[in-house]
Amino acid sequence: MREPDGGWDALRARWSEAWPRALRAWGTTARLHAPVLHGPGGPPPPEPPVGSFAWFSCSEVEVHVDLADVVRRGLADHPEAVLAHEVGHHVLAPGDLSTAARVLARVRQGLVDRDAAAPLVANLWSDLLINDRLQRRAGLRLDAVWRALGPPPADDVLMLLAMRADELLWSLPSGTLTGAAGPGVAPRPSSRQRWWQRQQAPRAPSERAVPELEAQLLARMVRVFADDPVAGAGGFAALVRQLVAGRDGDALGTGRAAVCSQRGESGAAVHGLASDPSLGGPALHPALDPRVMPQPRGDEADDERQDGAARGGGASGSAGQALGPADTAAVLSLLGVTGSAQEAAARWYRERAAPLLVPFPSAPSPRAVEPLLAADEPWDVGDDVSALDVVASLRRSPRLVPGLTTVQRGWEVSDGPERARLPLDLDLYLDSSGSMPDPARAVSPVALAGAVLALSCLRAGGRVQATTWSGPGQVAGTDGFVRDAGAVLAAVVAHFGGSTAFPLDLLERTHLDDQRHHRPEQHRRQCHVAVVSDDGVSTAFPAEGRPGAGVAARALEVAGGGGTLLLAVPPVWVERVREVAGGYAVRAVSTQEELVALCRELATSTWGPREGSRSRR
Amino acid sequence: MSREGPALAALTARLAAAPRDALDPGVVALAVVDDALTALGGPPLDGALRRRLASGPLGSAEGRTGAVLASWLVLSPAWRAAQPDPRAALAVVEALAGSLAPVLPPAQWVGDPAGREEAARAALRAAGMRPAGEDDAVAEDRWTAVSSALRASAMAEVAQEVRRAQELARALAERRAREAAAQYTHV
Repeated sequence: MREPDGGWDALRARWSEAWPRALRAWGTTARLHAPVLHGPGGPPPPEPPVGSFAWFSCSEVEVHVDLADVVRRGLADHPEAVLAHEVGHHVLAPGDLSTAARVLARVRQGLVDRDAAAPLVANLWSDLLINDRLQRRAGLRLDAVWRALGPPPADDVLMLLAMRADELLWSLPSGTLTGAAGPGVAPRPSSRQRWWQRQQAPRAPSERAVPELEAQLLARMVRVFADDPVAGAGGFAALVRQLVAGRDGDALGTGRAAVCSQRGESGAAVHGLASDPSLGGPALHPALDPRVMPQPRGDEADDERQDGAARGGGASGSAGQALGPADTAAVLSLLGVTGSAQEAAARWYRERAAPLLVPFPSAPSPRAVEPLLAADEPWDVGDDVSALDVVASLRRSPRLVPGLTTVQRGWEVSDGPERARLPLDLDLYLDSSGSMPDPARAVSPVALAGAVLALSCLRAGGRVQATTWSGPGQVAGTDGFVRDAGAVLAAVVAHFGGSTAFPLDLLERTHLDDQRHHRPEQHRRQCHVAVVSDDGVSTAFPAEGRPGAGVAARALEVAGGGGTLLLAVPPVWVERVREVAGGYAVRAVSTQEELVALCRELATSTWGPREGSRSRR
Repeated sequence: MSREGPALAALTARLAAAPRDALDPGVVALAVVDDALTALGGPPLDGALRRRLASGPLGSAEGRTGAVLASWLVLSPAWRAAQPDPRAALAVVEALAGSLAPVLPPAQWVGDPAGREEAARAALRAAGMRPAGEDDAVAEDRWTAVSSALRASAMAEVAQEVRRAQELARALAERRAREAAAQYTHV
């Protein structure tokens, strides 16, 4: 390893001293704890290697620099610029984890089929915005950093594009950063020729072809979207995607070593992806974006471009189309947020259901009550945190293990002067047979309706038993009534994809066992039974004389909280199902519009005024 | 080969300091140009030249505002020190009002840093000069980078390319969808 001038300690001291100045480049109010300087005399670089000399983490909000790598790349004399750049990732682009995810989502849209390159392209877009801001407004010499790193490889079209854009932005002569001859020196082929060259024959590796026009577009984008990284990310990716058309994936990969990195945000929670209506639309190429290339009045193509921008609308260049659960999972995976597709889908349905929650009904308690202190009871995950009796739990065991050693104060009841109301429980059955869409892969309005019901029940204080079912023996879920929203949503997004056989035995066990075994019923809460299905719901109502006949009707009667069948069927099917469904309310939910209408109806009429919360009245 | 002119920074600073009145569409641009050329030692505009300017570069509102700003620029001390010739000043007025103003609104020559640089470079080119401290190659390179007119035509080509590629992708996708549907039908 090459020893820096003055030794490692002196280098570390120089970089530490530069930190306050790097922070000041972003204003007097910027605050961030000191950077982690890896290398000799400090913590070792992480394993596996991050792949760059500097990196940042939005979830931990800190800056890391590998001093050994800095020396190897000849950047030891640029501490202020490098550190200020990393601070910029926390201040300007992306700024926080949610924005990082939104930038990544837009870049994914723009790259179309180059998912693997999305993190690199997203990071490079952020780098461009940060560097231009620092160079122009803070007076830092980012061009000196690029010069120290040297020109990009001749076949690295992405870095050549970025370097040429920086040359244009900072009024540097052509070739200063790209290492290429100026545009006026070599004759430039016509655009049509260049297009055909790209389609027919990828350039030889030795040819340093700087994409001049694309760099000019990019330079304008950097200024137009200087303060809004999400808005320009899709257009930048579309520009890159068009530039590398006909090339293999390497054209997007070789720049990885030259830019800093965002470390995988393992375990972090990302909010706002599912509910942002601007993330899922197609990305608008900057050449067609009037925000980047405004046209003189009267231009014939102007109307079309304005239309495109209107379609692209809003701040992020797309309108009215949110990400689906599969896209959300892909973005989270690219961001390094660990977790399965099912977990991402559960988050997606939770976020989308949140604005649609309805007042869940309550029922008069069988007896009026007044609370009396009683013995401790187990406190489990999903119970109200405020109910946890920490002192009593610690008295039981010095180590708190939720569900095992945690307790809450128990309460007995005595007759009181007034009758109380208790929220209903919800017994939710979700059809995941082959005819139903997999909620983790495609948006399923009917599954979303189930999530709305379940979360509404939990919000009202009720408990939910969520069961996913398909063919015989294909049953999974919460296995009992719980208050854990995560467990409930896991059942909502689970999918078997098998045959169709409603689990009548479970329905019977849940509601009719007490009757069958003559057990007392005084501790039973009233329960609403809901089934999310399609025409497969008919298996819940076998014909007279067949096994299980009448179970659904009797369960509904004993549950006492009514029943709803949420079906992904055409309206004509609804009448047919009603003929066999007895006391169950039957509703068709095939589209998101029908879902919204259903929730509105539940909130204002069916449950709201009659039994539910009065908060909406 | 052009000769060395004033520093670019001096010209952009002059444009940034242009009085608000210079952008007023009510200003009689022809009179301002006449005064500027006279101040540089040239003769007053004759009738033929007046008619040519009025029907040409100064025929539009942008052109008239551009001519006023060009006059403001050539009266700057830095310009007069490097190029006091009134004929060069007239060429600047005609170039900025006739060629630059239609593609870059004159308000941007004052308010936008990139617009200021483009206007200053356009003026220098019209007078056969290059910015102080730059050689011909660098000056040409920067002009290529900042010129709105060059960029507009090039970008129109890029936009056309993009539209063509999108149409091609759309047609391919439709064809694949048709083929997939045909396969499904015959299963």
